[in-house]
Amino acid sequence: MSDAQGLDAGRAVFLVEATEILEQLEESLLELEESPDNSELVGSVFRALHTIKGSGAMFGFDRVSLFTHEVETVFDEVRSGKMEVSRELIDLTLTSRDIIRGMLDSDQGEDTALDEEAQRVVTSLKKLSSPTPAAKEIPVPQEDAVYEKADKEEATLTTWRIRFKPPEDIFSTGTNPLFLLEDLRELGDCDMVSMTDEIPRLSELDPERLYFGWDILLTTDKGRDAIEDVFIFIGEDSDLKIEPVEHHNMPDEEDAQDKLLRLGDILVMRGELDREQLSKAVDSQKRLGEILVEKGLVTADKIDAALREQNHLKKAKAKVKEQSKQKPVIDSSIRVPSSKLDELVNLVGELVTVQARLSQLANGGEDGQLKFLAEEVERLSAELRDNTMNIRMVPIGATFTKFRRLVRDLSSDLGREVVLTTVGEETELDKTVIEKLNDPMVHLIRNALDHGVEPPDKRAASGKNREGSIHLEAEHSGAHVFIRVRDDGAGINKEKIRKKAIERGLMEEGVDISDDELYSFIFSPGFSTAVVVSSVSGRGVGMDVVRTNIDALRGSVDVKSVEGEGTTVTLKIPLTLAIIEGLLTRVGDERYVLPLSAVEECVELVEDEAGASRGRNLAHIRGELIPYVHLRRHFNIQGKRAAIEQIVITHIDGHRIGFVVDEVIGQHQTVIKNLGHMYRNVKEISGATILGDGTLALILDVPCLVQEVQNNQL
Amino acid sequence: MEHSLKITRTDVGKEGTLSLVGDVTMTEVQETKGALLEAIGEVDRLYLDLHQVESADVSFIQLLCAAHRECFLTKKDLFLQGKVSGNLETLLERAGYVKQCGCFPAARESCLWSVCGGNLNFDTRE
Repeated sequence: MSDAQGLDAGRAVFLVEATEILEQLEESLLELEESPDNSELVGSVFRALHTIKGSGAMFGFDRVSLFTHEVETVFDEVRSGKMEVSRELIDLTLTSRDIIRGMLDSDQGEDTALDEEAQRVVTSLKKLSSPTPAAKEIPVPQEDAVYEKADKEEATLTTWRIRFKPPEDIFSTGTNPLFLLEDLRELGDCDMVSMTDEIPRLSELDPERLYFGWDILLTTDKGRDAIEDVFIFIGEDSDLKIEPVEHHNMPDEEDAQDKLLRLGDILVMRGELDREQLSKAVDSQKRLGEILVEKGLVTADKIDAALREQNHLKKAKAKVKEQSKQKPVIDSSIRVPSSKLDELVNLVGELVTVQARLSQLANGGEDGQLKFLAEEVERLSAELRDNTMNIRMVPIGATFTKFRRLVRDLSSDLGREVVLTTVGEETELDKTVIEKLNDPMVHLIRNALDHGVEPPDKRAASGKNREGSIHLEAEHSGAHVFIRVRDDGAGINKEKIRKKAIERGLMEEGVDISDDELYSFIFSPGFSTAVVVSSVSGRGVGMDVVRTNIDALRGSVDVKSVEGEGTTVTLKIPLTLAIIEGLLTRVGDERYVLPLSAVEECVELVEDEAGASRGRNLAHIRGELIPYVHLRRHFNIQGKRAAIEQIVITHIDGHRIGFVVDEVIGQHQTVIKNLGHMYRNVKEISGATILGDGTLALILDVPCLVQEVQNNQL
Repeated sequence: MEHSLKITRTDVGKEGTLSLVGDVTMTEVQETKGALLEAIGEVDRLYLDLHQVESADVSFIQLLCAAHRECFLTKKDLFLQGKVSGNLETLLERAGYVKQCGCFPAARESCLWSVCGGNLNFDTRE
């Protein structure tokens, strides 16, 4: 790979990672707004900004890096306690996050508006930060590379060299320097040597003054701030120098882990002697420390401190090495483009189809070995299918988190006070499904905020809490996930919808229709009852998008609303779009697949009592009357009915409904294929699958089928 | 205020033993300095018996270092007699006083805290 290709690949990886980091940043900021004193969240925000700044610069996103640096600087002040978290800071940082997103999207292209916005934010951030920036300038580092990393990468295990000489009058202030050393020991592994060169002879000693200091080596992951905090009360008269010696857990420094510095190198690094002095001393055959002390080049104290440093580093390296050996492998992960996963799912789909054909062939013959092999292939392909599908499953929590920002910003724009609550964040859905859910969810939430939750005064006047609520909930139910968006707002005004529907010619005046039908009008293109079109909603575009997208997911939308109390919109979404476990049945020469997750049991339909309830057939199943749909009749399939028909009992939305077929063939791994554009309006069939013998079976959309039958029989 | 330090000195010819029993902290540091100076002035070889030192702080360790330097400059000998007390040993460790190679450049061989007898016994070529 050439350098340019490597850089391009690196940039692509950075863009993906930056997206995740920006999501985490937003989440942390929103949490920080609720818990402004949480230092972990401050650290998390700082680290996110720092990573974007550093990696951005590395891959040529200079604009991003420069801008993020300004925001990071402000958060550095928050981190060091010089500045407090305020609503304004959160606002500005959230806007900064959007600007960074915009900069990444536009890559290095010109975007004057974005740059102006960035400049405005930087100016506001600077105003927010403390007015005397000169007072808190950080000293210029001596060894830039190491210093910079150690200063900012808090979580990095670093060995620090601390030279500490307390003020001579420390005893008179009542401070015991040993306590400070004890505090340091609590931060990590600590070695110290007293530097006693300046202690005078007894006759010249003022025993109430302190003449010596310490050279300390500390290996810790706590960062410079934590070390400085130990000495915070000592004052300016003390001589304190904190410098990083080595980072231990940076992957790119792995080689350095095993390399131990020699005593001479350490002395040069510590500034005790120069290279020339060292090489002269090394020429002699005596031991280096001895020579240096004899020549008066370095004091014994300093040799001692350097030796301690050598030993300390050796111990720290050994410890890190040991810990890395013990670290469980489960932490490791690799990043794979989702297109590759899609390809994998497609291939698994093909494999499952071929496997079905193999099983059919094997079962039709007498070859025992072939049967055995077919069973093995069946088992393995089922496992492969489950694992593959599992890889694509992601929890919906991340999507919910995104909406926190939406609710926060919109309620602020619309003058609402709204609390967002969520339940079931751990519910997993296929990645593709989750991606397609985003737009409909955004529209539902915007609608709930604009048309649902009333302004605080209006709520108070009607005896409600000033603060409205929007509740997002996700739960598994068989092969589906239910997602509910519930608000405690004004509810849907049915009269308004009726009026608008009549106005638009969607229904006739004086006709009585059910609430469900009435609510379904709000999903019609261009339908809006809002008098005022706001930036949020009222154009009648959003709800149309909801239905289109949910239909595309083979899902359904249900609306329940009580005027004055609120509205609940329930989205019913299939777990995956690719493969389902189905029950294969036969009616005449046709094959139908019912989603196995909906199937409860299969029984013989002994007698058709043809008892009618709202025109449906009823079967007696162990004393219970269960309505059923006769598929042969419903699909108008020619031919003679089977002597003994089977009834497949399903469980749909809390009801048991049967489907009468000629024969239940058995369980079938169903790779869903779309029926194509021509059949998109066929509601009762959700797709098709290819069977082992190469013929097609149609996949029944059971809820739609039930609905259709009900509608026809009304 | 009554303090708990008891200082006794026993001389045999030009050799003396100074015993410190009890606390040797900032409160006692002036008194201890006086006793040490006096002893160094009067004997050629001074032994310090510190096995009954109870509480001590860094001012005391500093005092002992200064005494060592005084002895070196006045060509006297200063030794520890037997082991120091447990408390003092802990203090020396915590204060970074357990040295590998001695202290005062010219006097490293006689350093009270050297663990290698003043011999710079370490390998620099690893």
